[in-house]
Amino acid sequence: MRKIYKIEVDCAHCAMLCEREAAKVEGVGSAAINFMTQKMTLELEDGADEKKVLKAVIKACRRIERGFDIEL
Amino acid sequence: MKRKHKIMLARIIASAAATLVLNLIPLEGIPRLALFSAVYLAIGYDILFDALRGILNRRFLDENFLMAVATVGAFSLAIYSKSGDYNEAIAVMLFYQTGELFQSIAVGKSRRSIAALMDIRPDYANIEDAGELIKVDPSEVAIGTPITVRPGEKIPLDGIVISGNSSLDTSALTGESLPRSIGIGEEAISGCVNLSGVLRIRTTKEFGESTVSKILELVENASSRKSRSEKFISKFARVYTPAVCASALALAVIPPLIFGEWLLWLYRALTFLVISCPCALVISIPLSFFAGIGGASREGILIKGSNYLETLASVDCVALDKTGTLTRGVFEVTDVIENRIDREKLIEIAAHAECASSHPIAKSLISAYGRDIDRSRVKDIEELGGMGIVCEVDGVRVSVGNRKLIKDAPEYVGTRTAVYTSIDGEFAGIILISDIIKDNSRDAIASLKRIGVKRCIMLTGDSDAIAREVCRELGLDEYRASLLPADKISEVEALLSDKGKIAFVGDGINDAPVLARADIGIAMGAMGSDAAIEAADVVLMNDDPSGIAKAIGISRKCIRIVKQNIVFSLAVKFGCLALVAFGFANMWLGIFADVGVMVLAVLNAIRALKTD
Repeated sequence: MRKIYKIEVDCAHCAMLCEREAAKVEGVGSAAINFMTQKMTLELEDGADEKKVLKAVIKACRRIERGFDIEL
Repeated sequence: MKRKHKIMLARIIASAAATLVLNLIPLEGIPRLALFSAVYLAIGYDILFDALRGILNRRFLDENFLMAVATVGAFSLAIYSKSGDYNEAIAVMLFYQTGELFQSIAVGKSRRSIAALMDIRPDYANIEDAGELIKVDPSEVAIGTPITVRPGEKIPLDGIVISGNSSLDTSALTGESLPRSIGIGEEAISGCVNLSGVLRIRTTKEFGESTVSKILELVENASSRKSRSEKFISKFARVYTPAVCASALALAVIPPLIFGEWLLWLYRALTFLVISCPCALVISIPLSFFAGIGGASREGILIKGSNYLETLASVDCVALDKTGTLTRGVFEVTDVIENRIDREKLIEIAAHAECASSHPIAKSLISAYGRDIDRSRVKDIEELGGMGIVCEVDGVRVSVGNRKLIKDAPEYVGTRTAVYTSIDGEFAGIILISDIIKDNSRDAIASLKRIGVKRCIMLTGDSDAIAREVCRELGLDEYRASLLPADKISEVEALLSDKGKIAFVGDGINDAPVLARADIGIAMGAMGSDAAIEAADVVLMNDDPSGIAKAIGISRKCIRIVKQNIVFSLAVKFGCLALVAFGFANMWLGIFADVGVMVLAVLNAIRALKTD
């Protein structure tokens, strides 16, 4: 399942790092961040719990940029 | 300015003011240390915190770490040497924070201007329910549902207009500023904004399959394919920071073992750390690519990733498909020759004879006639495969076809398609039909030449005579005629062996494999064609071939900016590092160099947004 989220990320380099970290989260097949439009596309693996995955993604990304957030 | 920017600005101003005041008050010893420490923490606590967190998360040696070590070190030195000069540590934090704040605001501003333009996602569709219009989510609308689009609203789904006339603003999709008029029976493409009249549209696609969804998907995923420069910078950052930290350590330990003066060398090592911060590079390089892709999409040029932007910039050979790319791909009646009867009458009869055919030539005859066809005038239509049509129009025997059908006709020799006509067994005239070259094809080729593309080659399935004519008219370098679709691939492969990059431009309808095989596949006139959007690396939303040169121009500018930033930042950094190592610079210069370079690099990167 592919979903697009509105996110908040402040620097372009952090966005690249966040992308890499988000892809490593369990339940995420692939992750892409568009810094210009502030959108994150996540390919969720089948059977993954969206809420849990998002929580883990936020946690992983905040390790890189404190201000990272996903608007729901 | 966002709330967090305002808070930061307040912190910077307050800390700067406090530092000034503290310098005016004569304070000594512990009270002085306590007050200066308070200011230092007020301006830098988040950096210290992030540095600590970085270490805990095993992500050492990022810019926060460098700043934290340098300022804490400078502060400790001031305590140890009892100089009481804590200004340096505070100044470094102040300037660093100011630079970050400036960067964040500038980037946010340019980002919003792009995001607003790329925001083509329709929020709702109006459907009729018991005589009233209600707003529903576009993804819930089934195929075949009539929807209403009022002036000022976005068309939410692809469909056919069933009532109303209006003009559409397609600029968000195509970059084309002229509105396009639309009426009953015409295709309405989602993502366009309805300007003047109320339109009722019967949807032909679900939201997920509509043009607007396809484009959004493309735009929003554009950043996932990384360019070599970006990969270089990530790798560079991974090697660079540990390397400068090691150098700083060496600078702090080795020279004093020889010359003594431990404090002096420690200070130089800390300054070294301040200067070495790689933010200018790591921030500005990805930003340049984002800005370049964003700027291009504002012009109706969608680039699927920054790696393609990079390849596009080094294109020096462009292969173009003829039909649909350089020509309109629709046949038009261009002339009538050898006519024995009035030309209007001839076209009228030929159009009626062809009224049941769906062949492109029949369509061109019907559109040349321009009025409604009265089918009751036509009887006994007989289609002779490979020759033409024989029938009765107004009770008279009519033949329309090639020369095999009408043997006594004079032969036409030339580059256009000839339609021979006979009425009542007598030859009546030849209607010449050809594919019309697009108005701006010539300029498009000229501008490709102007920006330094070495070869422009046309690939076509048409005959040699037609290809030569088009090639001459447009000023192309070479052409390859009578190609089957598979031949186009082998032609492109033959060109691939050359040094520069080759771009193939097609309309995406039957040349998807060729688009995929070239270094860069550029699809044209993609509005409404999913196959093209999928197959190509670069998508030109409108069917104007001058977009090719524009796309190459934009990518070259972007790459130029990236290179400028890499060279400029590294030159300043290494220059300053050398100055510090030999003792010609202090920490003040260090922070000026660091923040200054970052601000300039960011401003330069934002320039990639402007496309003209």
